[in-house]
Amino acid sequence: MIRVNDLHYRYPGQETDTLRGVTFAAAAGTMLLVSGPTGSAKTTLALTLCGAIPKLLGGRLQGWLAVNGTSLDDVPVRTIARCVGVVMQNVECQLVNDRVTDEIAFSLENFAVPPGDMEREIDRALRRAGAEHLRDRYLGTLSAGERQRVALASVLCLGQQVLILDEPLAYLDRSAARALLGQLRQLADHGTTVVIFEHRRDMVAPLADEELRLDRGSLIDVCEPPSQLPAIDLPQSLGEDRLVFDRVTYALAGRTLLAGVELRVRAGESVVLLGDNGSGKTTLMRLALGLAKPAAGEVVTCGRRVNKTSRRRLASDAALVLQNPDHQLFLPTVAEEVRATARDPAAARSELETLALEDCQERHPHCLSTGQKRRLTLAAALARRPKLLLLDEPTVGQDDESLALMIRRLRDYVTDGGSLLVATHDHRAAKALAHRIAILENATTRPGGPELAEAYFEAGRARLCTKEHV
Amino acid sequence: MIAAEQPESFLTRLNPLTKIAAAVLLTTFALLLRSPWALAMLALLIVGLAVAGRVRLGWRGTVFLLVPVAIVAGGNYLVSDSIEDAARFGLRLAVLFGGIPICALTTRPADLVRSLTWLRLPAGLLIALLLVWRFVPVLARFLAEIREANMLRGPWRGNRFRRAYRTVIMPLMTMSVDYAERVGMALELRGFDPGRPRTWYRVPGWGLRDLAFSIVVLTVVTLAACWQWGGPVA
Repeated sequence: MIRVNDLHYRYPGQETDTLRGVTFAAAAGTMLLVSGPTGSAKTTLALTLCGAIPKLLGGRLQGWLAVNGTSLDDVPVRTIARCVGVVMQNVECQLVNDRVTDEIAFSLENFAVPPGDMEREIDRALRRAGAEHLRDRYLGTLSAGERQRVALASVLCLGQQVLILDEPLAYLDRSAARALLGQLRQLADHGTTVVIFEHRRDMVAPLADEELRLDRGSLIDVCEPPSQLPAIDLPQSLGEDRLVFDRVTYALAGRTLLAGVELRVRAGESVVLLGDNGSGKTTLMRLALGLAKPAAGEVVTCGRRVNKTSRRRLASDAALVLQNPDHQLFLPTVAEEVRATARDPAAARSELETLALEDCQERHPHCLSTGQKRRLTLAAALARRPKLLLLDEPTVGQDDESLALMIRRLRDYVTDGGSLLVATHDHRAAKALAHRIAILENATTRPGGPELAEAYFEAGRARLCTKEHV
Repeated sequence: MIAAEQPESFLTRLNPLTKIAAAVLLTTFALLLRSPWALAMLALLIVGLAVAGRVRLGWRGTVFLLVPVAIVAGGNYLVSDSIEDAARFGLRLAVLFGGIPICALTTRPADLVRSLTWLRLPAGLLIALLLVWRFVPVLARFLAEIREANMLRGPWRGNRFRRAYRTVIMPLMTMSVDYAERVGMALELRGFDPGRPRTWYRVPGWGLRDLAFSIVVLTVVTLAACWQWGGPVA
């Protein structure tokens, strides 16, 4: 179905190739996993397979690429779109309507499918994407996982033989990720060639038929990465309270997200917050810095009552690194980004070095890979030397090497007396960083030791559909 | 307050072109009519439609509508010492401020774009219109996120204007351009080509609901016109 031979690609204005001699083939009905560290050119390869490179993005492409026996060289993107469907890394940019049915119909409209046939095709696509229950919904009311399914349905409605998904699990919790992977496995079993570009290989590999590993634009042998990161040492003694949630209740649009939540993070302590999409993890972090106001209860951050303190003052002692790094990077170079709010130049230099960002100091932050951007936002936050550090999904887009780098730095931060609260879906980060665990479920927290993370993720894995069970 | 946040009602289900025609008619007559009683009929029609259509304005929207009306009416009374003048200008402003916003609040961008296919406008133009409409809340969200992120970055040294330029204006432009590029690419990857023929899944038609709405609006406007310019009810 897909044949790629000695593919080389260079972005416009660059002096080196991003793809270097990539060769592989995928038969019909194959589920192919393409894994690789951040910056390994996974997205570049995905965009090449769907014709966006070089037709939309320019640059120089050499080698041979064919889908269903037809070379993509002289075929317009619109024609390729008829047989290759793409779900992009950021589905937000892919959705242009406000109703689910309109969104799916948009693809059909583009190919002038008669309106009378559309209802049937929409229903079929929703069924194949496992999204029938979303049919009458508005996109603005959907969760990240549900939007991903709608994006998938809007691609599936055209019945393409090849489906390409770039980091589809990035923002999904374990149950949403499990459901999506099960759906993709079913599609492959029915003859669709599914190519998944994903660094969370531990989740996809058990279901995939084949795996390719990319490193700096070349295919390398697949080898098992170290599955365990060294766990954080338990502190000898704990200092004062840095974050206290005292029976905090919060509601949004009539839905109670948090009900009487109790949470405490002390100096020299690292707490990992677990919970499904929409369970209130991000909200809890926003409450800690006064970005949201509780309906009841009190939040005390670094000894200051949040509702009595200005947000700027709170931010001088505590730092929050948001889920999407693009929203926290403003300045023209990586070095300026870290220096702008660093306590002193030495702190900025040290963070750049520790988080392996020295080599890209003069680059524009938006030119970095997702993983590098995340390390940069972390470096900028740590260079301020905050007493309390809140991290929202810090591992998205991180490969094992990059993750290990982050974990080492965070362990040092905690050992030096910092307080850390991390919200994550990533079991590696949770196990490596947790002194304590707090699981957010049913609007309240379930506290426990590191063993709770093991139980939480084991429960998820037990339900994870394996290839044989789908 | 945007259309997507409004509950489903008979107003949201009307053909957008019917609502636009009604809003244009009410606006025109608001400018033509001078009798406070005639203008009051139009204002009452708008209030009735807003209530029946369960339009949610929120307290900010209500203040935004009522404060200018109160200022204009009160100002006129102080200047002219005439209750009639104050009522005339206040009610006229209420009709002008009420008609078009209610139409806009109860019309979803996709519905408007689909209804414009009746005018046989090029598909590329209609999709561009849809995307521009969708971009407005996206831009507002970007701005809110940038301001929040700035606050989270803690104390920032340097000149305030230079800081605003580098930390608000530039990122907003970068994010907007980046978003536009990604959306453009996504459209092409989904097979959109403005030069190719396309079909429309759902084109709002005219039904009994539109007919009933038009009759009500026309009746009230006719009564208001008759009240001012004479006729059976004058």
